[in-house]
Amino acid sequence: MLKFRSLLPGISAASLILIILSSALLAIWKFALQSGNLTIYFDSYILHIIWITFYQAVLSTLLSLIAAILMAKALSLVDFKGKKLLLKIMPITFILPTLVVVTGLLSVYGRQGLLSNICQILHIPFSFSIYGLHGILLAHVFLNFPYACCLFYQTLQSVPIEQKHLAAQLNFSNVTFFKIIEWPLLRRQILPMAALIFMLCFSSFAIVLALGGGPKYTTLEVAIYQAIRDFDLLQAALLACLQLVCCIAFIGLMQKINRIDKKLTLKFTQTDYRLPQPKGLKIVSSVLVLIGGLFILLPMLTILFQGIYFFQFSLLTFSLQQALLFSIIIAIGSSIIAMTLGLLLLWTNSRLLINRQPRLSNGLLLIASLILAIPSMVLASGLFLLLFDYSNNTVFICLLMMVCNGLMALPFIIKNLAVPMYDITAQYWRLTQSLNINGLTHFYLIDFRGLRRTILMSFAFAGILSLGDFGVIALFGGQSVTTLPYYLYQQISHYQYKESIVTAAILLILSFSLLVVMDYDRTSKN
Amino acid sequence: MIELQKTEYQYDNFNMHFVLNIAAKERVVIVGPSGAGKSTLLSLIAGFIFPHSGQIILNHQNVTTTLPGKRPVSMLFQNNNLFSHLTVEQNIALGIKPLLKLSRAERTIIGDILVRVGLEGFNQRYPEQLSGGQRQRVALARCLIQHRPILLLDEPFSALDQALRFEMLALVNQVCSEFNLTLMMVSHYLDDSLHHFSRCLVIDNGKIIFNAAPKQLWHSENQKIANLLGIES
Repeated sequence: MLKFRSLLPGISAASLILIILSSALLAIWKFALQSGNLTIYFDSYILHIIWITFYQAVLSTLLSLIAAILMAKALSLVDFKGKKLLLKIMPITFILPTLVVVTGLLSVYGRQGLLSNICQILHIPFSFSIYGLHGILLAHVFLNFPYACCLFYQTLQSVPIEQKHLAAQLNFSNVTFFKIIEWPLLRRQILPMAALIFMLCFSSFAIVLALGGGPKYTTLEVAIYQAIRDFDLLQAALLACLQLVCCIAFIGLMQKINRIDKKLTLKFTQTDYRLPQPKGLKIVSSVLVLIGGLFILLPMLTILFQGIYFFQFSLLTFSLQQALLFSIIIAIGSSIIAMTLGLLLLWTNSRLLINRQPRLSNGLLLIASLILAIPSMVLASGLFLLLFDYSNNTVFICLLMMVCNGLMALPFIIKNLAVPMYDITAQYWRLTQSLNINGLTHFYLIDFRGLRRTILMSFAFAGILSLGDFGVIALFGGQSVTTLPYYLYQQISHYQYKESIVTAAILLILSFSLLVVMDYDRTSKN
Repeated sequence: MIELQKTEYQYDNFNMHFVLNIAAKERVVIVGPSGAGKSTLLSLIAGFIFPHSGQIILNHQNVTTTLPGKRPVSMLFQNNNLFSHLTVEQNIALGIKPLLKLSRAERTIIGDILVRVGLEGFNQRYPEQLSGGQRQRVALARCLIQHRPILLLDEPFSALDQALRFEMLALVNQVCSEFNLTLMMVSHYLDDSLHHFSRCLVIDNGKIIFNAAPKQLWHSENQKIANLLGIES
């Protein structure tokens, strides 16, 4: 028996989201039709853009997955000091501000970067250009592969020790073990993971804008941005529809394959066991781990070291300080919005699941991730046009960005919290009912106290996403509001190498410290 | 035949020292407080861990440094004995060769062994469609198909209810006679099940402190050990 009271939070949050999204979309169409400029270009260039968007997304996804599987397997075969730290850092690349990633990759693979310097010392000609398709692929692999790798690594670790013992006794080679035992486990995760990476690469914006190197490599999202900048609203609306159709098809596909799988219950045994392995395999895995580790860590380290090296107080200009302040305010605001919406939705979601309404629950969560399908440009410009009268107002722009960034962080918060919140509510359901613990008391005593770490981490997660967002701000940035990524983009596009490194370092340190603060576990077991 | 000569193993400052000599076709039960080293003893014999000193001799071969797959040993654990994504037939087939493609002759062998453990016609089922007892029967079938003369059981029936546990013990006894196996089983039951065994080892604090026929436990000179195990005499 489902009470209206438990439906209310989710339904109100969901309707708020729907109202915001649909009014933004309608506003774009309304203005597009009013603008009188009714010429639509649907020429070979658009087909080219669609093709490139698909092509780079497919390639990025494949490369990321292959790299992730190889690295996960290699990690499971070797032990070294700092492995835990590496595993902790790896998934963070997934949420690093994209422009920091761009700066980091430039500092390693760029013309003045680490590699070219090393080549110069060794007198080897360095001809690799990071601009173009390579750059896009490199950045997408950097963003996505470590996250996938961590997930795959956990899966490989979840094979029970008894089964490893059995495999040893049945004389399995490492190849057989992978084929018969590990691959079937991995296979279940590969499709959902591929869909997620594909979606993110498909709607990638900042990376393509910064590293695409001209109209030859443009994606739909960048084309939408350009159309809006040129006030070509009908074109933008059309492209937005194209993007919407593609993304909704993918979300549908993801929901089909991404059933809430009961996680394997991990029984932690102190002693792990490995199959006896030939020396060659050990060497190959060590080399793989070394390459993967360097690939992940080098860009971040160069940013940090060069950032400190290039740092001068004169670089802390007034506009940098202002950008920093705006970034922080917007990040806090959007985290609060994302968290509130997320918790309201999940509150109802848990109760729907307990009352065996998986369909309604799926629908509710679909609304929350609808934002993934709508280009952030379209959302922002729609809201902007709708509320055009207030557009010179700094406070208004900040609020607009908070809402946009908050909505964009929402799907990730849902992904992090949906299963734990359902689990903890279901686990204590009868007990809480008999003790008459309901409403806010339930939230505080059960959900919050039980999942404090996960909730705080999600909060930090939303904050970092907002800190690094370079999408919405690309449209509005400049006059009244700038943020750190906007500032950084200006430096990158003016080839101010040293200054950009310092800004990226600040952004990186800010993101990391947010994570460290939230990750600090006061109830440590040790 | 199982022989451990001054086998030393250390783990987290916990020293274990085993000396043991068991003849072929004996049936040995191992009891003792938890954390005393019972499973470690089995792991040493199976080869999942290697002793720091001493020697392990199985069937007249020195296997001290031999890998688990090459030892004349098969083993059954308390859980996770089966791969849940493989059918019963495939799970058993892994005891013949590490491939999932089977010849007709191999299918026949698997069919026969399933009859022996009382699961005729269960070939195409998945582990989750079986009861706890049935799963352990499948795992036992795989041990038998490996044709290794030593069978190690690490509390495989502890999760089963009383009646089922005795049934499984009877089955193990029967196959041990049929296949001429040497049996070592870790247990924490000190009831009638002890009479299935020709010998009982009591392990405490990393050492074997009792090594005799099970009924000796009730003799007055072993009062201390009986107290440790909680046997009322």
